[in-house]
Amino acid sequence: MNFRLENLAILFGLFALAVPILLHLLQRHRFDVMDWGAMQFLPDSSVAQRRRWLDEILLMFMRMAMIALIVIALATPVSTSPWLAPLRDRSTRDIVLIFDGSYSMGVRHAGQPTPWEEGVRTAKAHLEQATYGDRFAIVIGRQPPLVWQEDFSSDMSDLRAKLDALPAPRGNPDMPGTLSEAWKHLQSRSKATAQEIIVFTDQQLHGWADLETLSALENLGNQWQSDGQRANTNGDAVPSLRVVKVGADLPKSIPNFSLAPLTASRGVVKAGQKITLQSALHLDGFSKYVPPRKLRVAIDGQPVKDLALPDKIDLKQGQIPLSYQHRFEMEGQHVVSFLLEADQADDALTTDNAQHIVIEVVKDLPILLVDGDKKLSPESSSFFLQRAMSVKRATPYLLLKPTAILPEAADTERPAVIVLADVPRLDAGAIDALDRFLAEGGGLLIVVGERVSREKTFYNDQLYRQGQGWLPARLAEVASSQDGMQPEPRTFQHPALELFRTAADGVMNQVRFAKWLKAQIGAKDRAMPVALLANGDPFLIEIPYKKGRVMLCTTPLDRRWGSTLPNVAEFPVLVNELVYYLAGAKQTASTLRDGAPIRLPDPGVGISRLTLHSPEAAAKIFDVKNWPWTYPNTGAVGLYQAREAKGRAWSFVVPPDLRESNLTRCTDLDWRKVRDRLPVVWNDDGPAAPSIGSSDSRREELWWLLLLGVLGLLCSEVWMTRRMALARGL
Amino acid sequence: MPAAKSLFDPTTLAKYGRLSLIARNVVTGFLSGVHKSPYKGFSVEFAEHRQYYPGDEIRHIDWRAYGKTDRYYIKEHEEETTLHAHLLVDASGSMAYRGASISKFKYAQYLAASLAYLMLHQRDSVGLVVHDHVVRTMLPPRSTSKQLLQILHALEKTTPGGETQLAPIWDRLAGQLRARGMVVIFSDCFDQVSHLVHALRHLRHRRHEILLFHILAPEEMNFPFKRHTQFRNLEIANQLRMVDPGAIRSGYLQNFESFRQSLRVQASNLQIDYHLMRTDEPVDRALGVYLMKRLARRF
Repeated sequence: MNFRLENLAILFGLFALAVPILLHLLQRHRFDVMDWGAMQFLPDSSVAQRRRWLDEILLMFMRMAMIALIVIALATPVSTSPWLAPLRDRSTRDIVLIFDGSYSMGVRHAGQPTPWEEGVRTAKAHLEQATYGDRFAIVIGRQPPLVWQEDFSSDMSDLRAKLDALPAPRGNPDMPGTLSEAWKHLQSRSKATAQEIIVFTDQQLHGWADLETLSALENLGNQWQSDGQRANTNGDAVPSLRVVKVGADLPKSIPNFSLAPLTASRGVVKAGQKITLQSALHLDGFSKYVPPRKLRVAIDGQPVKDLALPDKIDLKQGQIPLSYQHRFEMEGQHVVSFLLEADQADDALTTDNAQHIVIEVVKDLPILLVDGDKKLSPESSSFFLQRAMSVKRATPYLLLKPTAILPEAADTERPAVIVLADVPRLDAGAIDALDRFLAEGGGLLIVVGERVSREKTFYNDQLYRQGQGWLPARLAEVASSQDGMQPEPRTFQHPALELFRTAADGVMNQVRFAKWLKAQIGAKDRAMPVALLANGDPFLIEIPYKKGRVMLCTTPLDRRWGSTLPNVAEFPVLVNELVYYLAGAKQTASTLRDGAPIRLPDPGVGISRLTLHSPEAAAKIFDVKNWPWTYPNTGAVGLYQAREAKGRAWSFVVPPDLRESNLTRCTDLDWRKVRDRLPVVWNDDGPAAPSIGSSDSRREELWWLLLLGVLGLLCSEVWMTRRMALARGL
Repeated sequence: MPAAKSLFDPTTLAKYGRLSLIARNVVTGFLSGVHKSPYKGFSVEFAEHRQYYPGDEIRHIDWRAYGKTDRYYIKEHEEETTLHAHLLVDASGSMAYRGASISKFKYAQYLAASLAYLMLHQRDSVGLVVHDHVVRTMLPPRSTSKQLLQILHALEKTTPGGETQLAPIWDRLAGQLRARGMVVIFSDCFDQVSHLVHALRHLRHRRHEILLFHILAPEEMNFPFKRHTQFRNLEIANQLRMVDPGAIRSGYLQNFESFRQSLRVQASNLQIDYHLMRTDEPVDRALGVYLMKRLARRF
C-alpha cells in the first residue's frame, strides 16, 4: 500500500467540512430588503450573478479543501510511493555496500545458493527500492579490500550491472581492513547528510571474532570513535553500520577438503638439484573417509604426477601429509601446484583446493662474500667459506662499495646473499645499501669472530639499534669452554638445518667451539634462535628484516676460536643450506601475504606491454611506462603471472588462509564481542530483512506537502475574496 | 447661515407636522432673508417711487407723496398680470422611496406647498395636479385665499402609489391646462426619456413655461448599498430583484447618470428649467428658482 494515515481518529475532523457549506447557505439567506423605485436603472445582472454564484461555490469548495487538507495532514499521512521520491526528504544518504569476499562465502551446501549469491541477490532486490537521494559504492571485503564501485552512484542500472559483474569470493578475510577502507571512503568522498555501511557476510567466526580480528576491530573502533567525535564537532555525518547475515545455517560438520600451504625445502634451488615440496590434505567434517578424485602435481601448469592417496586413514588425524620431490633443469621461476579434485558433495569449498609455490631455479647462486681482513690470505675468515660456497673471490671489507651490494648497471648480477665474515666495521654507505638490499628480499649471513667481538659496540649501536636494525641480537661478551662447546642438533628445528637434525650419524656432535660470542635477544625482538649450543646459548639466530632474511652465526666459520666445524665433511653442506635458505627470501617475495601488492622491478626494457593473469579474471593488458610497476589488486587467492612483452616473466602466489576453511559461524556471544568493539550506531542487523530500501526507509510523511497545499489554497482564497470584494466595490 | 439652512432642511421641516405650517415657515423665512439673498432688487412687498418726467401718465403720480413732499413722484405699480401656475406633483409609487432623508413625495409636498404659499402671496393663481398614471387631484389655478388650503389639503391627503406612466399623463394634461402659464413639475421622472420629452414638448407647445424639479434621493444617485439586497419595486407589486449591489453599482450609476443627463439636456433644448433637487437639500432653493423665473417673466 503506497498511502496510509497513521492517526485515523483525526479524520472525525472532516465533519468540519460542513462549516463552509453552512456558511455558504447562511450567506445566501442573509440579504437586505429595499423598496426601490429606480428599478429601471438596475442593470441586467444575471451573468454577474451567475459568475458570483460560481465564485462563491468555488470559494466554498476551496475552504472545504483547506479544511480537508488540514485534517488529513493532522492524521499524519505517509506514503511509500516511488512517485513521491522527488518530494522526499532532501537529505542524501551515501551507502557503502560491503560484500564479504572471503572464500568461505562461496560455500555451497545441499544445492542451496552460496552466501555470496544470496548477498548479491539481496542487495540487488533492495537496490530496486532505494530511496531518492541514496547513492551507493561497492567494496569487496577481502585482503586487500577491493573498491568495486568507487564513485557513489544512484544509477541503479549501472549498479545492478556492477553487482552482476562481481567476481566470485576468492579472498582471504580482512574485515577490519575493509571496514576501515569503507569508512575512509565515506569520509573522503561523501558529503551526504547520512552515511551508512552495510555488510553482507556469512558471519564466519574466523574473519569476525577470532582473536586477531577482534584486536584489529578494537583498534578500528578506537579510531572510529575519535573520527566520530571529530565529525560531530564539525557537524559532519557519522556513518552507521549494518551487518546483514546471508547464507543458510550450516550443519555442525560439513565435508570439505583443503590443501595446506605448499612449502619447499629451499626457495632458491640450483638447476639439477633435488627439491622437496610438502603439503597436507586436510579433511574437515567427514564422518567417513572418502578419498578425493584426484590430487595432481603440476609444474608451470603442466601436470607431472598424480599423488597417491591412501585408501584408509584415521580421520582423527584430520590430515594426510603430502610430499613430492623434483629436479628443475631449467633456470628461472617455476610454479609448482598441488591441485585437488573432489566431488562437490565431499567438498563444500573449492578455493582451498589448490596450492602453489614459486621456485627460483638458478645456475649459480650469486653470493657476495665480504671478509674482515684488509688483505685476503689463507688465514682470512672467508677462506673456508669461499671454498664451501664455490665463490670465486671474497671482497675485503674496506673495498666494499654500495654498488657492489646494489649494482646500478642492469647487466650486473645482483647478489642473492651477502656473507659478512668477521667484518669489523661498515661505513654508512654500506649500511644503507645493506638495508635496501634486505628491503628487496636479499639474504644476509653475519659470521662473528675476533674483529666483531672487538667492535661489538659498533655492531650494537649501528646495526642492532635496540632491535630496530637488521642485526638479530645484541652482541655481548665472548664465552669460552675449555672442553669446547658443541652445538645441540636437537634444537635444529629450522628447515635449513633439517639435514643435520635428522642425520643418523650425528655429525654435528663432533663439532666443538672453544669460544663463542654470546648474543642477547631482547624481549620485543622479532629474532629467533634457530639453533642452540649445548649450554643453551644461541648458535644461529635469524630475523626477518623487511623482505629479507638475516642470520647471525655466533661462532666463526673457520678454525679460529677453536672451531672444528670446517673440519667436518658436512661443513660445505651446512653453509650451502644456510645461504640457499637465506636466498629463499626472494622466493618469499613471490608469496604475497597480508594483501601485499605485486611489485615488478625494472627489467630494463623501458616502456613495455605487460600481460597479467590473475586467479579471478582473464588476462589483463597493461602498458607500463614507469618501472617498478605495482599492481595492488591481489585479493584473490591463487596464482598471478605477469609476462612482459619481451619475454621476462614473474609469478606470484597469494596463498589461502586455511582458517577460512573452518566454516564455524559466530555465536551470539561472539557477535556481541564484535559489536562491543565497534562504537558506532548499529542499525538493526536482521538476517532476512535489511532495511535498505525497505518500506520504512522509504516512508515519506506528507503532512508538509498537504500544508503547502493549504497555503496555496489560502492564498487563492484570499485572492479570490479580494477579487470578489473589489468587484463588489467593497 | 446654519440657522437659516436648518430652517429649510427637509428633515427639520418634517418636525413641523402640518403642511400649512411648514409652507408658511419656509416662505416667511425665505422672504425675511431676501435682502441678503441673490434676489435682491426685486420687490414683492412695496411699490417703487421715482421722479416724474414729462411724458409720464399723470394717473401714475402719487398724490399722497406730493402732499407730503410737494414734489411729483411716479408710483411704480405692482404686477398687474396674474401668473397662472400649475403644480404637477408626481404621486407614483417610486416617489414613495425614502432613504436616509424624507421620501421623495414628502419632499415634493414641501416644495409644492411652499411654492403655492409663495405664489399666492404674490397674488398669482395656483393650481394643483396630483397624479400617478392617472390624475388623482386636480385644482384649477386660483388666487383666492382658500386655494392654499385646498392645495395643502389635497397634498396632505395624497399617498404615493401606483405605476408611473408620466409621459401619457403629462401629455393629457397639456391638453387640459387651458390657461397659458407656468407648469411646475415635481417628479422623479422615472419613465422613458423620449416619452417624457414628447410630453414636455407638448406642454411647451401649449406655450407653458415649465419648471422641472427633478426630485431624487441621494441613495438613488449614489447607490451606496453594499450588502446583498432584494429590491422590491414600489410601483409594481411582487416585482423583486435580488442583486449584489457591489457587482452592479457601476452599471446602475452609468444607467442613472445617462438618464439624468439625457433628461437635463433634452429639457434644456426645450427651454425647460431643469433643477435637480435632492431630498437632503434645503427646499428654499426651489423658491429662489421660482422667483428668478418670475422676475424674468416680469421684464
